[in-house]
Amino acid sequence: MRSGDDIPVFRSWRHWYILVMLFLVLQIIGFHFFTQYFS
Amino acid sequence: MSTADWIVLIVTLAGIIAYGLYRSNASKNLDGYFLSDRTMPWYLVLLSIMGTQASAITFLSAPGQAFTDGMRFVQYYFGLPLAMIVICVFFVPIFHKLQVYTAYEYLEQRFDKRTRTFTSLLFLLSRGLSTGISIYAPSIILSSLLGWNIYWTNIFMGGLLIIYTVTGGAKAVAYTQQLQLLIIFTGMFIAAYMMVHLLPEGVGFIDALKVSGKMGRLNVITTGTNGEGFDWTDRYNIWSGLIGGFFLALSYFGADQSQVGRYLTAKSESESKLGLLMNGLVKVPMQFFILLVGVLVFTYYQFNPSPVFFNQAVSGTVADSVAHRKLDEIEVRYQQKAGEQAKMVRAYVDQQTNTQLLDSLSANQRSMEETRTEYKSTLRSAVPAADINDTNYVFLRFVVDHLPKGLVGLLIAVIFLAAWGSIAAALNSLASSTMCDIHQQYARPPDSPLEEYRLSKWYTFAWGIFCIVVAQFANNMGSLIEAVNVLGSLFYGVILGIFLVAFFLKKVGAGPVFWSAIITEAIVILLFWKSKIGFLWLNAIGALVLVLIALMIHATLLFFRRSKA
Repeated sequence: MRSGDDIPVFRSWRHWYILVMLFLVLQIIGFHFFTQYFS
Repeated sequence: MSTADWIVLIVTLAGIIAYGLYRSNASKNLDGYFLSDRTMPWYLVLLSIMGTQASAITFLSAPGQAFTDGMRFVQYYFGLPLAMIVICVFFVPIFHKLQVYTAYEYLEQRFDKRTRTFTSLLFLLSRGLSTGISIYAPSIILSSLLGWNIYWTNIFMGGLLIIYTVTGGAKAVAYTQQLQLLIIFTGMFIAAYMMVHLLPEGVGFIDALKVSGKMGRLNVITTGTNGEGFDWTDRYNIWSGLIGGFFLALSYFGADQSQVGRYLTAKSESESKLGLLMNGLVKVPMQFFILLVGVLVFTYYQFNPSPVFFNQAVSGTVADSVAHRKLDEIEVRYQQKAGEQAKMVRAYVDQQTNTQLLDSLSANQRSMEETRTEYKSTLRSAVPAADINDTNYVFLRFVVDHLPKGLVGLLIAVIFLAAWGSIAAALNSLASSTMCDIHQQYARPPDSPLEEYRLSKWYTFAWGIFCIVVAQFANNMGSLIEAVNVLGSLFYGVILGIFLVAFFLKKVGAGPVFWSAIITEAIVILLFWKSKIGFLWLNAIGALVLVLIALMIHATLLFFRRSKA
C-alpha cells in the first residue's frame, strides 16, 4: 500500500483496507447466516 | 393512474428539472460544462457516483430479479469495495495530478494517440448502447401504464432528457442526483413498508422472510457449485462476485468516463477518494435493500392472487382465438394453484414446524412456476416477436395494482428520476469523451473555449438522439439489468487491461498494448458468442488476457531487437 499521498480520514491506506475488508467479511458472514437461517 | 398520481408525478419531475436548471450556473467552458469547475464536496461526489450507477433499471429489474431468482444478485457487488481502494490508491492521484478531463487523456500521455482513441471508442460504443437501454427501461413503464406505443414513448422520454442534460451540464447533473436519490429512497422505503403492511393480519416482516426463504428467495450467498464441481456458467455466486465483480467495478469506476467524470468534479483529490470509498461501503447494503423489496413483492403474492404473466400489454396482443383460449385455460389453472398456495402459506405461518406442509408448499410453488413457463411458451408461439421475459414488469405491476393513490405517482417518479440521474451523467460523459478524446485531437485549427463549450452541448444532443435510436431496438433483451451488465462486460475487461498495463507495467509501450487490445477484444467477443461462460468472468479474462498478450508482444519485440543488435 502506498502511503504519504492524499488519504482521507485515516493516516494510511492500510486503515482503509482493514475497514473495508472487515466490513465486507462481516457482511458476507451476516448474509451467510441470513441465507442459512431462512432457508 | 389517478389524478393525485399524475399531480405527484408531474410536480416531482418538473421540480427536478427546475432545480437542475437553477443549479446550472457553471463557467461557459469545458471545465464548467464537464467538471462543474472542480468544486464538488465529497458527499455530492458520492451521491453523484451512486446516482450514476443506480439507474431506473436498478429499481425496475433488481426487484424482479429477486422475485424470480432470489437475492443472490447482490453478490455481484462484493468486489466493488476492494476495487474502490485500488482506484483511490492508483487511479485517482494520476487523474488529479494530470488535471485530465477524461480517463483516456492519460493514455495518450502514457502510450500514444491511437491507444487513447481506440479506448475512448470502446467506451463510446459500450456506454452509448447501454444508455440506450437505460432510456428504454423507464419507457416500458409509460408504455405499459398508458398503453402508449413503446417507440413513441422512447422518443418522449429521451426528448425530455436531452433538453435537461444539454442545458444543465455536469453541475446540474450532480445537484439533481442529490435530490433524486433522496426522493428515490424515500419512495422505496415507503413501498417496502406498504408491502409488509398489506400482508394478511398476523403476518409480520419476519414471517414474510421465513416464507420467502423457504421458497428459495433469500439465497444471498451461493457458492456456484453443483454435483460436478464449480459451475462456470453460473452467473451470480460469491466467487464470480468477488473476482469478476472486482474487475468489473475496477473497470467501471476506474476507466469508464461516466464514473470518472463524476469524481473529477471534486474540489480536491481527497474529496474524490472519500466519495469513492464511501460508495464502497454503502453499495452492498443499498443493493441488498432493493432486492429485499423484490422479495417482499414475492411474499405478497404468496398470500394473494398474482398475475400469471406480469406484462399485460403483451398478453393483450394475442389475436389468435385458439391461443387466447389456451392462455385463458392456463391462467385459470395458475390461479387455482395460487389460491391453494395462499391457503397453505397462511397455514405454514401458524405451523412452521410442519415439514409435510412445507414440502407441499414447495411442490406447489414449483408447479406454479412450471405453469408460468407454459404460459410464456404459449405466448411465444402465438406472438413470436413478443418479449416473454416479464422480470422488469414485476415491481411495476405490483405498484400500480396495490399501492394507494399518490404513492403510485411517487414510485413512477422514482423510476423516472433514477433513469434521469444515470442517463444525464452518461450523456455528459459521452459528450466529454467525444469532445476531448476525438474532436480536440483531430480538429484543425483548434476551437476557442466558447466554441468548444457550444459544440459540447451539440455533442450531448447528438448522443441523446443516438441513445433514443438504440432504445428503439432494446426490446427482446430479457432482464435489462443483465443486458446492460453483459454489454459492459464485453468491453470493460479490455479497457481495464489497457489501464492496468499503463499503471503497473511501465516498460510496456504503445505498440504491444494497442495490438493486444484488438486481439483481446476479439477473444472476449468470441468467448461470449461461442461459450456459455458467466458474463462476469469476461471482465477478469479480458483484463488478464490483455496484460498477458501485451507482455508477450513486448518480450518478442525485445528479443528481436536484441537479436538484431
